[in-house]
Formats: sequence, structure tokens, C-alpha cells
Amino acid sequence: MFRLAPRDGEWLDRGSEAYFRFEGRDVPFFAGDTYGSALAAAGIATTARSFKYHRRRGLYSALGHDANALFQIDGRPNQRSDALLARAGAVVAAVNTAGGVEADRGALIEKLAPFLPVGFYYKTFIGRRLFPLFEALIRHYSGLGRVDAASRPTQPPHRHRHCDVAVIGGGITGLAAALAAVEHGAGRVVLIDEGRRPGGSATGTQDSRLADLQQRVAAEPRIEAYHGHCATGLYEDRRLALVDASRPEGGLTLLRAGAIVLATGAIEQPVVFRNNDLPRVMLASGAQALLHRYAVACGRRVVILTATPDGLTVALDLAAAGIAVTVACLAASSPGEPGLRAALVSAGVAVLEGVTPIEALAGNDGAVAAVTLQTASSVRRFACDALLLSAGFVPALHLALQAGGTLAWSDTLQQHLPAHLPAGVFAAGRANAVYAMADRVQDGQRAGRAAALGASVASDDRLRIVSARSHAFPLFPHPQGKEFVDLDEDLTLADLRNAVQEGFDSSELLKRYSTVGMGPSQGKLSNLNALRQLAALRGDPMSEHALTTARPPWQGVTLGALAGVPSPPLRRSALDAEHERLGAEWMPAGNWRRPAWYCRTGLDRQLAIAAEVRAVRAAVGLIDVSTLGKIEVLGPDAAALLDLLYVGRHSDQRVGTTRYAVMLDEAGMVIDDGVVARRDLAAWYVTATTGAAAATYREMQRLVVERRLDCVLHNLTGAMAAVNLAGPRSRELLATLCGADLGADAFPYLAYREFTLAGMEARVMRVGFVGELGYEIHVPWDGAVALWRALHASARPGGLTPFGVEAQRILRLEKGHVIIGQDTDALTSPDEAGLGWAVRMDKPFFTGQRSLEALRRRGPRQQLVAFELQATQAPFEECNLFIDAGEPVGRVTSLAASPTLGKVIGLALVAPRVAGRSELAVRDDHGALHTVRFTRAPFYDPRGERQRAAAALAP
Amino acid sequence: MMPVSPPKPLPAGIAEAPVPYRLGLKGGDVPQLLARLGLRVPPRPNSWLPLPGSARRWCLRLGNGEFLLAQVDAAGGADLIETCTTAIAHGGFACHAVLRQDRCIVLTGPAATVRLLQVTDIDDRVFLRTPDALALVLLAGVGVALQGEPDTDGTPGYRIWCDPTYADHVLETLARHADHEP
Repeated sequence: MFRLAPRDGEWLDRGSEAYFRFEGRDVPFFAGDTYGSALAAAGIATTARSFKYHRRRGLYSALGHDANALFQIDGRPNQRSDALLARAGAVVAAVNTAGGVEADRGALIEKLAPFLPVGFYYKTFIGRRLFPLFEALIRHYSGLGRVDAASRPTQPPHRHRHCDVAVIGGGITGLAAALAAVEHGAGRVVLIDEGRRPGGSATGTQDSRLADLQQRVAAEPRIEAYHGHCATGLYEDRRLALVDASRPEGGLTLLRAGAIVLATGAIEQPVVFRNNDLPRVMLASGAQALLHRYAVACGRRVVILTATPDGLTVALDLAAAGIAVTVACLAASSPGEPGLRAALVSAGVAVLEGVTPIEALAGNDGAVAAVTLQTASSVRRFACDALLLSAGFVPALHLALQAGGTLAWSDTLQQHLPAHLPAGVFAAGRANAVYAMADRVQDGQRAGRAAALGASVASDDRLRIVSARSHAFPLFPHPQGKEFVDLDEDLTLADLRNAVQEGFDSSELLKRYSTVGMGPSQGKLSNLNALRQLAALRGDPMSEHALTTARPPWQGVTLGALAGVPSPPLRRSALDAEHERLGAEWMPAGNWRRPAWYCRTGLDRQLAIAAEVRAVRAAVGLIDVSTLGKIEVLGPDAAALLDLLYVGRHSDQRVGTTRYAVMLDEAGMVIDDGVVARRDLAAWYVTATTGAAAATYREMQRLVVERRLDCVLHNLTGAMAAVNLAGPRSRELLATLCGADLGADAFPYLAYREFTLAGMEARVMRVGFVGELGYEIHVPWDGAVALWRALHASARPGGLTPFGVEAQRILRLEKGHVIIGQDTDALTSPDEAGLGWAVRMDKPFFTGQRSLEALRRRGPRQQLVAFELQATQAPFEECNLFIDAGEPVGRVTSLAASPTLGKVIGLALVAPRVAGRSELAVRDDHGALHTVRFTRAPFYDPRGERQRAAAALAP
Repeated sequence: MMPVSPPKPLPAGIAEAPVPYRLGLKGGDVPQLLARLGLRVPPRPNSWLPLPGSARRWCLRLGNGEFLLAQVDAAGGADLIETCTTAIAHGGFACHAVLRQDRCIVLTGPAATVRLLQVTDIDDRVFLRTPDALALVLLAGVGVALQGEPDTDGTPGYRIWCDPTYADHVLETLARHADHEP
């Protein structure tokens, strides 16, 4: 076992031990362990397989910077095993294996490596012949974890938060920055750290400053700590997306900060040489995290290949824990001060200088068993069970890059530095190339103070290191290859060399062609080394090549976390409960729900709808039309506004009347229709279709502002409810509830009246959308239920039939009335839709007028026609195509079996050349052709006698 | 330091509070009209005031020139609306009465702010600092007027004024978030 004796500051509760199951075997863990630390403690070296060649892989960064750590956990794919707390009984498996991590059949692919060169996709798919074969193969093998389609997604609620200063990174710099921010007036500071406890890379050090800062932060109520959270994206206005990395479902917090301090540290970089990807070859910082946080030894006999003082520090820590360590300092590097070297010697650690790695060698279990090094005098093999790498650092400033920041390369320091940071964003600590503990505290205080005071000063670089802390070129090619630059994508030095030779010789091109940096870790451990290889091959200085930007999310986020709790806005009419009580079957209409039809005992859907249609034709029906847009227009310029908005003329409309109105877009296409009622000389009431209500209101607002019109708009869509009482007996029923004269002369067709109805003020329009005597009644939302119930109470039992949208569609189709958006599309002019009669081209201007003039000169491209078929049921469906000489010449827009007429009727948009035909064929979904007869609309009551209802109507 | 991960599941009450009397006022002369009627005017855009005579009458200033008068009790509620509309009808004020049928949802309790911040992106510090704060925000995907109304003991409380057709959605969304709380 690799678990060590209890250590001060470890993140474990040793009193609580449990097991999870990994690849068929039980793995013990303590409370506080991650899956990764528990596997390391259990001595399980191979925990993953690589993406392309299925090579054995193990814990590598232990800090979320590589794809090796992605596991399938309890059915959830691609979970971060080095961040998630282990759960008792969890079922855990490696991703991307065929037959398990130990016996992965996919490993055979590595034998095909010579045939899978860089740019394989581009080279292979340039010809069509082999595409189907490779597509099937790649689809089968691509991706990492598997989505369990049967599992129930978890969608935790989003949280929104605002703060004065956000500090990202809970290391010693971040702690100092957070405290400085509150000391300089920040009322709310949010401290975000991926670790479950503060400390960052300083965890485990005995420096008293860390403990002091931790205590002061813990006692400060103005600092909110988001431990176990990862900032995955930085957006406009300093908005941060924070993901709870400690929970499998990962809750999302959206944080808006006045200023941001990036105390995000620096990401340790690997050394590239042959077999540098074997299990138990890992970053020194990862081994340090295992040691201090989880009391796990990365090995018992460890070699550290380093160019940094950090590698030496890790060697000291491991030696102090009783682990045998050999330090191999890379050639052309001189890490660490003399004091550090002396401490190593005192601790009995062997230190080799000026070494060049040749290759790592695997043991029987596939994990590293030895490393061959070229020293000044000889080539030597060093047996080991863990090989740690530390080649240098990349500042973790990816969030700043997402927000438009830039980095600059320093030849002196051999690393990138922040060159330009977005306004209100400050870098501090290791992210700012400040490494010494005391300097990091001071740099954090500087950044925290600047953030709190809103200072727009550039980062102060006086504290930065003055000599290189990174190796200039830690890439060591081997004649037999397998020197992995990008472990996510299995890319070697040879792959990059070939890509550059093929002409993909900029960092952006190289990324897209070779896929370097395109894996789950987005190049955190590979981009810098790839850049070095690119610059070396081209003979360029490093400063001529830029790092590519890691896109958000910087760490993986579940789709469920992004989605949050589903809550698509749904509107309900005031009569919603009444419909429910009457057995409504619902359908969506825009963002409303509406009754499609009402269930009736003994009747199926079709018969129930037919019964509703017959009731309206024979007696009286009632439909909820509250979803209509309802807009009040007041003021002296109201008529002028309506003349601009609609194709008809309203300025000459008489008070107490309504007019049908058609609205066009700038291209002269129909986008909405409605009814305009003139209430008074300067007071109008306008209805719009359900889906276009908001857009119509916005267009009105635009015109009012643009034309400087003296009128006021009130959108009453939600505040007013509306019903349509329709049928030959509607007048008779309505008369029981009001004292107004409803006679044909006093309240004729298309008239508008306001009177008291069932005790409330109502706005009533004589309209005929369904082709019968009808009244559209508008009342305040509060009164809708009372009106609905009063109408039902006044009717004789069964005499008033509620009808839904399906019946309404049939009724209006029998009458030949179009529905905008169904019988028209985005390219239908009013002439093509048969609405040319409503257009008044002699007006000075209306929206779409000039385009319509041009359209009329050009002639129609399609024509709305009516057709019928002697059948009781339609043998095809809406949207089926009309076919002429084998070519499509139109489509069915509306279709219904008419209960009133006993035949199938419909509308269609067809090419003008076939619009004059007497019949044409429609092709159904199965390819069969059905001939329909063209006719003229309306199909029902063509003279409009019933809707005008000048005289008493017989049912 | 306040640990916020994981969030504590604390109680929050969610209910619809019937407010049968509401009236919208729009236009530049609304402050003068209200002053003429002896009513105080919320001094700042996006603020509110209790109206005199009852603890359950409010005047909400929505933005700059739009107002919502609302009253729970029947006594005097209809009169208030009628008085305003009559005054406008008599002329002399550049303002309009607007039909408002907003429904009012009350969110209160120790976890009210936590629940609120799950469905809307507001700076809760504004409500902590200013007891008469009002915000016109998108909440659960719909536009609402959010009125901060803490209890006398400091317990957070909010009134959410929304289009009546969206009120059920807002109520259900708040309840659904409560169900999802870990």
C-alpha cells in the first residue's frame, strides 16, 4: 500500500473508511479521498487508457490538468476522478476501453500507429470511397465516456451572485488578495478555489504565513469562500461561471464581480521523452498534492526529473516522508538555490546534474519500472516505481485570455507573462511570475488592494522572478519515437514535426491540423511544448508564436449543470382552470398552452372535435382567445401609427368599427394580421396573433420613436382576457347578460362596442373568423372566469359548447380564412396569400410598401389555392408536396376533413403556373399520389350571410 | 469567511398574495397627480413606498415615469383607483391610467434570498442596503417587478409582481427549485 501514516493537515477523516468498485475490484478509501487518491493509495497504477492508441495511463497531474483522470462514475461519463470525493459503493470504470482497463482490446490500435499519421482525418476523408468505412470505425471508437441514455439527468439549480471582488485561487496569494480587498473597502469578496481547503500549491508547507492567512480569512465575514469550485469561464462585464467540482452533477454559479484577481497559480509542465506517458510517470506537483492532501506516496522509489526548484522541494517533502528519492536535474538547467541543494544532501537525496532523459521503461504491470538517463559520463538505468517530471510553468491565465487579455513571452524567464489584462482584472502570485512565498503574499495584497479600489493600474512586475524557472527546451526526441507532447490526443514529437513540414506552421494551424490542445484539458500540459517544437522547427524565436486560447469551459461541465432546473416560460390564460375542469387536451401555442379540444365521454379525438364544429355551426360555441395580442394605442398620432404599421387605411376608420389589418416586414412579406378597433377619435384597440404579439408591440414602439409620433402604447396582452362566442344562437345568449342592443342594425358585422356584461366593463367586437355570427369579448383578466361561468350559466344545459383550437382551425378553413405563419411562410406576399384586397397602395407609406411595389412588378412566385377531395379522411398530411411532372410545385398548408361539408378541404401554396389547373396530385409520406380538385374558397357560406347575420339565422 | 458550499437548505415560503386592486399610471405628470391626491411619490426611479392609511397599500415606481398602485384591502381600494382615473379623465395632467392585472407572489423566510438568486440575476446587496428598493428584472425567464419587503425582524422578504398569465409559471418554477435543493 502507498498510504502513509497520518500527516498534519491531511484532508482525510481516517475514522471513516469505505469502498468503491473500480473495474471489478473493491478499492478502500477514507472520507476526504478522491477516487484518484484512493486508487493511488491502493497501488493501482493503470487507471486509464489513452484516447487514440489505448496506451496504459495513470494519475498524471492529480490536479485536473489531464484527460487521464476522466472516469465513468455511476453511469456518468467523464467525471474528474482527481477532484470528486469518493462515494461508498460507487461503480467506477476507465473510459474509452474495450474489455476493461487491464485487457483493453483497443490497445491493438497502437500497432496501426504507422498508418495513422497526423492529419489522418483530412488525408483519409479527402476521397469519398473510404469515408463510410472510416466514419463507422471512428464513430465507434471516438469519444471518451458513454452516456447512459436511461439515467435520469441531474439538473441542479443555478445560483446568481454579485460581489465587489472575486479572487480566483485559494493559495497564499489568493488569501492575501482577499484580505487586502476587504481591508480596502470591498464589502463582499468571493474567494474561489478548486481545492476543498485553502492553501493551493502551498498546502503542506510549514510556512506560518499560510496558517495565519487561513485563520484571518476564516474569521472574515465579508469573504465568501467557494471551495471545491472551478471558474470555467470569464465573460463580458466580469461575469464568471463557477462550477462545483466536488459534486458529480456540478452546480453552476453565475458570479458578477466588480473586479477580479487571478491568483490562479501556474501549471507545471512535463518533460517530453520516450514513454513519458507510462503509468506512475507524473508531474511533481501532482505527487506533492497526493502527499500533503491525502497522505499517499506516489511510489516507494522515486526519480524526479526536474528543471525547477519546485522539483527539488517535492524531493525534500518525499524524503521527509521516508521515500527513497533520486533527483535528476536536466541538462542546461540549474534549479534551486544552494540552500535547497544543501538540504537535499542533508536529507540523503542523491542529486544528478546535467542529465538528459533517454526513455522510461515499463515493468510487468505496464507501469514505469526504470528510467534511462544520459549523464555527463555515461548512460545509466535507474530503477524506480515512480518518475516525477517538472520542466517549468505556464501561468494559469486562461480566463484572462478568454476575456481578451494577452500574454507575452519572456526569453529571460522562459515563460509567458501577462502583457495586457482586461479592465478590472488583475493577476497575482505565480500567475504573475511571482514565486517566492513572501513575494506572493505581497503581490496578492497589491492585487487585492487595486481590485478593491477600482484601480486600473497594470500589473506591477517588480516582484517577478529575475531568472528562468522553466527549462528552455525540455523536449528529448528518441529514434524510436513515443515522446508524447499531448497525452490527451496521443500526439508525439514526430506528429508535430510532420505537421509543420506539411505547412501547418503557425500555432493556430498546428492546433487544428494535429489536434494538439484540442483534448479535454485544452493543452494545459501540451501547448507550451508544442509551441517550443514549432518555433524550433521554424527557427523562430518563441516570441513570434502565441499560445492558443482555451475556450470556456476551462474544466468540463455537465450539460445538466449548464441547463439548470428546466423552466421554460409558460403562459396560462385566466381560464386555464376552467379548461382543465372541462377536460381540455392541451397544445402549445407560442409560449402559451391552449385547449386543443375537450374530452367527451364516448367520443374519440376526431369525433369530439367534429362535435365541437357542429355545435358552433348549429347553436353556439365558446373559445378562449386570450392568447391574442392586445394593444391599446392612445393619442393624436395613433391613426398615423396604424397607417404606417398596417397595409390598410385606418385614419378614415369610423369610431365603433373594426378593420382587418395585415402587417408586412420591410421585404413586403406578410408577418402578422389582426383586428384594429377604433374606440374613440384618439383611442384604438388592436389585436395581433398569439405568436406575434410581442413583435407587433415592439414594432409599434420602434415606429413611435423613429417617427416621433404623439401616442402612447399599452400592451394589455396579459391584462385582458378574451373569448369568442360564435354560432347562430350567440346573440340570443349574449343578450341574457347585458342590456345593450345587440340587433343587427345597432351592432352590425365588424362593429365595436363597449358595454357592461355580467357586471363588468367589456370590449366587444363583431367578428367572423369561424364564419358564424360571433362576438369577441374582451374583459380584464380578473373578470374572465366570472364571464365564462356567466355565459355557461345563461345557456340552457348543453346549449353552450366550449371548443378548442382544432375545431377553430376547421371552422376557419371551411370559411377559407388564412392563418398567418401556417398558410403563409416567411416569403409570402399579401397578393400571394390572397390578401391583396386589404392593401392600400395609395397611402403615402406603410412598412413594406416599396418592396411590395417591386414584388408586384415581378409577379407572384407562389399562389394560395383551395382544394377539395371527396373523402371522409385525408389520405395525406399538411406539408405534403404537390407534384407536377415529377417535380414539387407546392405544398399543402392547411388540411381537414370537414364535418360540415362531408369532404376533405385544404389550402395550398403552389407555383403560379399550376394554380389555374383544375386538379393536381399530392404525394403522401409513402410516395403515393392523390389527385385533388382545385376550387374556390370559402368552402362554406361563400356569400358571408351567416357571419354578417343581418337577419335572424336558422340553425 | 462564510462557507457557501454546499448551500444550506433553509426554509422559504412561497405563496400568491391576492391584491385585487391595482392601477397603472404612466406619463410625466404622475408625480403631480399623486401629490394632488395627497399621496407620497417614491422619490427615486425603481423604488416603492407604502401608501398612508393601510399597511397593505403600495405605490411602486417602475423605472422613472410608470407607477403601479396596489391595495389588498377592499376598503378604499376601489376608491383609490376611481379617484385617480377620475382625476385623469378631468384633464390637466399629462398621464394615462393603464389597466394592470399583475399577480403578486410573496417569497419570504430565511432562505428567500437563496431561492430568489436561483431564478434571477440581481445584486441582492441593493435590497440589503435600500429597504425601498425595486428592480425590474427577468425572473424565471419572465419580466417582473421585484419589491424588497423584509420583515420587521430582518427576515428577507420579496414581492414579485408579474403578468397574470405568467404567475403560475413563476410559482411553479420557484417550487421546482425548492424540490431540487440538495
